Amino acid sequence: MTDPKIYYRVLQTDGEVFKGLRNCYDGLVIEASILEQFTKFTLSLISTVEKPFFIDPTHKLVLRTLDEKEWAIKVAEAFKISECVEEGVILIDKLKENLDAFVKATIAYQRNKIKMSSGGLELFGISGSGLEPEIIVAPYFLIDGIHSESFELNLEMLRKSIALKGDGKLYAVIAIEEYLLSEAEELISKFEIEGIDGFCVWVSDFREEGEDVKILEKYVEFFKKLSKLKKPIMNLYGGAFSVLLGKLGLIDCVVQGIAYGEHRNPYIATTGRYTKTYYIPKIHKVVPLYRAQELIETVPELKCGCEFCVEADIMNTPVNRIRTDLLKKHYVLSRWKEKQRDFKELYANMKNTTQLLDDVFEEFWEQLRHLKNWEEVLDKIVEG
Amino acid sequence: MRESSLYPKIFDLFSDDYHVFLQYKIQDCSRREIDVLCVEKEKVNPDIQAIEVKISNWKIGYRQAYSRLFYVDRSYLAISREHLNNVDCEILKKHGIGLITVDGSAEVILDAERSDRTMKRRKEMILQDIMKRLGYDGSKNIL
Repeated sequence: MTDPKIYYRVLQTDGEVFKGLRNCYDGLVIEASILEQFTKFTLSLISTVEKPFFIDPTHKLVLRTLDEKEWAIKVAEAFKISECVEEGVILIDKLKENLDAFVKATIAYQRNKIKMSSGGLELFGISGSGLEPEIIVAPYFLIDGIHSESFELNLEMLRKSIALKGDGKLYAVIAIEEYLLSEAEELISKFEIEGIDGFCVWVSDFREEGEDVKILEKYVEFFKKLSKLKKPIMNLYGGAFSVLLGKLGLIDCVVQGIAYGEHRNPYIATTGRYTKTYYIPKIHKVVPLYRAQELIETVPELKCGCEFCVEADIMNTPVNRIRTDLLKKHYVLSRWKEKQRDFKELYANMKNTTQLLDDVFEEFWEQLRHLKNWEEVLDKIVEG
Repeated sequence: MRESSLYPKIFDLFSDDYHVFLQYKIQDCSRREIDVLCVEKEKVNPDIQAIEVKISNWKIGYRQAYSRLFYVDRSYLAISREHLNNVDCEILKKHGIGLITVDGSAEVILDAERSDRTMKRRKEMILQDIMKRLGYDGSKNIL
């Protein structure tokens, strides 16, 4: 069994955590919107941590809409789609007319943006080398139907991207509405295209801890089918369940933000406001900090003894005084430990935890229900 | 019938011995609201009780009452008499949650036990807020 790689989405507020814990993750994902808004920060970060990275070009455009923020205007210009946007909507007819230029610009952006912005960094002893993205991601929009216009458009963009890929590795993004998990066979078959080097998957608003057993099984089945294409698979929004699937050989890389972004609903704009949350390693879930305190008060065995938790002293410190950076570091360290553990050990620990919590399942149903669902799904996989 | 229609009867039940606050917003990031909060009168270390009121959905009320165990000394579920029979009293007893039934008046059916989960800091936070509301400036001890 292999361990999946752990990649994090970059936020401008997480720089110190990334720098401080550079040995606890494998790579970074930079969203074009972040790169446009915080170019110097991003450059400095990737130069310092020296980790593989890639740029997620169109996740903010996935609904073919663009708001009027400064970064959106810059991205539209960089991707050469300014002329295609009317009242915040990317007009599909105009986009089709302009598709070659859009694809070309999106790929060129990923290849060159960071290198071209690095001028002057030498002054700080940072060289421009090593600033190439690990992979190029084909531009993508959300696929909302198996015979939809958006699907055709994605495939068209993908074919054009392959033609431009050169020596680099090109990944296709399968960004889908959740109901399309039921049509995995047909959907995946359309991605059997020569020239794709790997896949990024985004199942819209798929919450690994919130879905019931049947949906989770479809999710697993989707990755099983995709893995038959024998290309690396990245889950763009995944959590501990994806790490477990990674250990079973179904996912090669799990991407998340630090204590956020284990799922993403493209229809809801993120506010950027950080709510204090805490990752409880034994239940593999991020929960509101005040709720974590209650759960640990009830079941002290859930307490984490890592250096960051000891320093944060979450049980004896008021929530508003607990340092956010310590909570984030604890998250990164916990995920890294999960990655390093053997599947059997993780699986057995999870079962033990479920038993331990049996008495309070009703009271903490919202925080714990996923454990039994995950167990049921994993049991079936393990029993084969 | 709305939950709030039961509040006056619960108020009457406790108001002789307790300062009673309706729909008390807990002053932390949880955004929780205690339907009825009772703080014992004339005590140095007053007992605090939380009462979560439901017309019929006792299970949601129970979960709320359970979460109040971390803030107060005693926690109750209050429910209208016509739905009383649906309540699983054993689960309430297991965690020391009391039960109040409301009809023409409110009546304690099951006494709440003192919570062994009260987080000292959270109780103090509520007490300090209540002191302010009652006009105590901190020079006197409490209530």
